[in-house]
Amino acid sequence: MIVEVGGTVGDIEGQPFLEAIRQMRMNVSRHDTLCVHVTFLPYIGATGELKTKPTQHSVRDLRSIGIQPNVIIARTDYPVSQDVTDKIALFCDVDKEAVIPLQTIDLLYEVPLILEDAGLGNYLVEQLQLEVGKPDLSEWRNLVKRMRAAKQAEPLRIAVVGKYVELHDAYMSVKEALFHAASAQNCRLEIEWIYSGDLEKEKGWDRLASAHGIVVPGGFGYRGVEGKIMAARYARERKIPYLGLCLGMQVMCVEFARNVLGLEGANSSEFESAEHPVIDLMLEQRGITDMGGTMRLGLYPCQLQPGTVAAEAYHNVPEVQERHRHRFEFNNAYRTRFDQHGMAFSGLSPDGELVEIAEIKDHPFMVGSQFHPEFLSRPNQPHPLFLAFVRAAAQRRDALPQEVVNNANGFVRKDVPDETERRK
Amino acid sequence: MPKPKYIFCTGGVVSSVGKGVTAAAIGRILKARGLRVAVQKLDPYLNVDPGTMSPYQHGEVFVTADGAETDLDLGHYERFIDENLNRTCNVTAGQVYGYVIDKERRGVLMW
Repeated sequence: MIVEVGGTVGDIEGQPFLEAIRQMRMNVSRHDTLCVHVTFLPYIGATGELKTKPTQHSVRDLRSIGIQPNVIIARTDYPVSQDVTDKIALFCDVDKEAVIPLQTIDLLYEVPLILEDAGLGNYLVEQLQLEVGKPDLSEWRNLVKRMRAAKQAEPLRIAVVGKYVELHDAYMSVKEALFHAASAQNCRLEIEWIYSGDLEKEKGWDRLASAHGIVVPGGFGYRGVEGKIMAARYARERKIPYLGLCLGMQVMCVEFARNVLGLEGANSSEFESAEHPVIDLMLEQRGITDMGGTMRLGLYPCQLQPGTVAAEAYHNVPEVQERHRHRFEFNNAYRTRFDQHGMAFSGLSPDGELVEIAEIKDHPFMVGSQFHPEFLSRPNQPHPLFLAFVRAAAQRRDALPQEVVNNANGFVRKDVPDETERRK
Repeated sequence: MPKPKYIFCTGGVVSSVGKGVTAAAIGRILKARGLRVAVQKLDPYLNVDPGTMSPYQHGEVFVTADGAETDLDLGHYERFIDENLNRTCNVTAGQVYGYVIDKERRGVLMW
């Protein structure tokens, strides 16, 4: 059991957890617990040195609470010499082999290999007196090798159109899921982060136009939604691969209602009391006033409709389980009309009532899911929808002469005025 | 089941230096030795979960299979150790205090 304590040692709010850990260490055998302390070595440019003093101080703080760390992992942006790690070992009272430098790297998935090669695995096993076999990281090493190779391959530009794009952490799983899928298909992933509000102000369109595929991830609140709707329209009309996640699926439906069905007043009732609420509050959600933990959350089944892009992406299995986080859903009153005009509902809840996946029929890949497939993507097992999306984006990249992509922004803007005009 | 062993991961000096990825990576190197591994995050804030927090403050809300809204580090854990975690894998100070206060009000703690 590995237990990470959030925050840093010395924060007042973290004290109760550290005290609990101290007490717990008294109650179990000496070889049953171990503390790994992760610190940072700042670099002083003037003298060209990595400083260990902050690490010493933080270990002193930890000891004053009654916890002596067994392992120190020293994060740094620069190479660390043996002198520095020995010094940390001496002043922090930790075995020399238990001070492990961890330099910043561009590939997260390499961290286990760095720690293993620095001897951490064997040290932990020895200290905890675990009886284990030889470590087998060969699969992981192959995975990292493949990711490294993909980083040298041809770039695949994916636009992520969202509201919180300044903070990439807000889309951590989406970013990782795209990376898993791109690496598995030997593509170097380049994400263009586009703030959807910018599209509303006619900004960022050149970057959107240069993308081989567009992702609209989940979100809440009306700000930036119209920009996402514009991005969905752009993807549909120009047949650019599009993956909509949660809200990204909902804006795809609103866009379709407005511009294909001609329902001008279509919107989600999350944002306004729309004339055509094509996205509406779920029946089960009515009457719920508390906001915390009350959405439709977690794993639910989704049945796939044969012959659809989504079903093919999932290798034609009849049913999948996916993780959800939503309050609103596709309004079934509009289902027939959508279906007649070219949108297929390729994934449904087992009772057929809830639209889980929607897709545009006459399009290489325009799929939206009410669930969040990004939560199930693993580096060794990229998610099927992300894989299919990346494959479609790579096909578009390979089919397009480069100048078409580069010059696309010239004619993109024609779409924009009527859309913004209409909202005024 | 053999006795569980506990590795506690603390952070010093500054935050955001990759403590979550480090914990997740330790999970992977232990799993590579045939051990069963789970990773848990203790968050010192008073919110019950990050579900109602601004993504600017907190980053992504990661959803577990059993429907808990959790810290994004759980995403790293699942991706690195390739196991599905559950709601017990993210404990916040708010949950602990809420539990204690609820018991106190119900009189369960009276002597």
